[in-house]
Amino acid sequence: MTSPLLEIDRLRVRLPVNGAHRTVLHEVSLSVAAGEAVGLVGESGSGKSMTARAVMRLLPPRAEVSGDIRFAGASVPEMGAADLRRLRADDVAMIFQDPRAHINPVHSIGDFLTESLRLNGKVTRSAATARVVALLKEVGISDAERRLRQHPHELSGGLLQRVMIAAALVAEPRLILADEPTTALDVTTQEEVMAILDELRRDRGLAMLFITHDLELAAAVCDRIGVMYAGSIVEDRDARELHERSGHPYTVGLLGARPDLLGDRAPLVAVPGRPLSAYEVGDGCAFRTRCELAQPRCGDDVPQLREIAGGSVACHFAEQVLDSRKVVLPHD
Amino acid sequence: MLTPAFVGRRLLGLVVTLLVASVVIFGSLYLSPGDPAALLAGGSTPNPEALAQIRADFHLNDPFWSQYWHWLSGLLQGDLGRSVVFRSDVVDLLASRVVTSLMLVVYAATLIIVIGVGLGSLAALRGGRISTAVTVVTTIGMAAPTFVAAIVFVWLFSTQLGWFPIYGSGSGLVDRLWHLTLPAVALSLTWIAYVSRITRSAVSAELESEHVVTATSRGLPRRSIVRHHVMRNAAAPVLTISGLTVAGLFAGTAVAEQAFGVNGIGALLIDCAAKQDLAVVQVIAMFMVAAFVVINTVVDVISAALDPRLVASAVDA
Repeated sequence: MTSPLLEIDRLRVRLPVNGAHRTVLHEVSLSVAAGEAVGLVGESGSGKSMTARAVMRLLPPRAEVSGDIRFAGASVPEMGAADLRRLRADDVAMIFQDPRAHINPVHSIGDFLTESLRLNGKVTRSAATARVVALLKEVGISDAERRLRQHPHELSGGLLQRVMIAAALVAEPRLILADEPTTALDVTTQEEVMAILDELRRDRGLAMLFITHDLELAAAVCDRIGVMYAGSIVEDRDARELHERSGHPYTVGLLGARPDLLGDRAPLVAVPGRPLSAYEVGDGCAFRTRCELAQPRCGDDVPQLREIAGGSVACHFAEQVLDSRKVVLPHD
Repeated sequence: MLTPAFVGRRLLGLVVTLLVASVVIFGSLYLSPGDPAALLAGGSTPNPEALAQIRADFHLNDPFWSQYWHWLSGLLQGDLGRSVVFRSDVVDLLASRVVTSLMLVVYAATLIIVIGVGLGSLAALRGGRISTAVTVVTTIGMAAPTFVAAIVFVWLFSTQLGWFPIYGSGSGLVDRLWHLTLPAVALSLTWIAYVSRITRSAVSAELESEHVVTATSRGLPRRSIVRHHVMRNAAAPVLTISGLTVAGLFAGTAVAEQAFGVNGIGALLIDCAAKQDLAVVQVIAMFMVAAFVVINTVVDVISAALDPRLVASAVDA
């Protein structure tokens, strides 16, 4: 078996908050194979974005990082400045949630798109422009030449996010980190932008780490799903099997908390309680305060990820959850 | 994009502001106490015939708007009026003094922008001890008003060390600059501190901004990120504050001129206001307002050229 393109190995991150260090990631292990799309799903504050930023070493200064992140076998935390720049410039590209904040407002769209080619690839401006125009047409922007002369404030959010996608693809990376790429857009634009990203990624055979709070969306565009809760991955499973075979009570809760547009108008079932931040987690299972199945054991014994039914689950009662799903399903 | 419409609107605004200012300046002195004719006659008990003659000569019996129009059209044609106190044309009084004051303001402005922006950028980009050192120095600088700095400078550099002249404006470019050094430093000290603080916070804000994270994530060289994404974006707010500061120097120059005996328009304004030489006070006040408004307009236009969003928001408003 070949080693995966991206391998996150027991990543632990602590950030300085008001002088003290707070844990934002407890122990995250995840891998993405070449050409594979992996969804990282969880509520806000669960550490999804931190995980992605750690991959590109974009965490705030003075963050404490332990564990390892390997890209194509090379350890990212140990990279020198030149290697790190090459990783960012050539291998991994990031699509951010809010294109209006993440694209410099004072430069033209053309400057933004060609900048990395001109500075990193040493391509002439005219050659860079030609490539960028072709790419803009691929992301569905027809009057590309005119758009290049415009500034970000003259474009709608949906167009800007397409520009961001084009900017990520322009360097021909091997891995894309998409951090909630459609969350800031309105619903109809969301679908278009997601479809474009999905199609271009498949065409190019790129690997993707797709970060979202939307479990169904992740299941639709990804091969595999990692579910995060309070700074830890609680379940890691093939996207197609998630509905039938999810083994963590939190995953089951997330699946129940989403409206089913085609099926019965069954009432939405919210996951009770409020999501915990990673630093609030004491001993034991982070989810126990909101879990119906919680037993005294969950309070002092942290469940580790273990192989169950073709995926991995961090719950002492995963078998029970799987069984209950099997029993419940025929009645649905 | 910087459109002709945007520049046109700013120019129109400039003209309207100057017109309003001219009415206010002329009107407030028109309403000020004292009989100008008695003042012009100069004697302790002028005879009524002489006063009537003076009133006719100086159009003092005309209605306000007529007098105002007479004054304004004269200004526009280069006729600045006559000083009663100095018994000479205002043009001749101002000519050399305006040059001296302009030199002082430009000198101080250069110090403010070069040192203020330099220190602020250094503090933001380097951080750590350099940032702390700049904070300490600028805190002291901000607490030193011009007249206090002037006294200390004269005592230290002129009386004790003898490096700079105590008094006067000098002649010839180098000699003039030498004479203007202490006044310029005293005038600029507080503002260097102010501009460096604004610069530091503007540059820090850009360093932490999300679009700089994007640029970093694209593997761009640090030098390009600092130049094209940090300094370039901080330029508009820094320029606006620097411009306001420099425009304000025209008013602040009076204190420095008076303290160092520099023969400029600020010192002249104080002198003429005390002696109720209305014609001179009006022209100098008008000149200071004009300098302030023109600099502000220039800064507005340059800021808009630096940040295209400013044009958009001005058009929307």
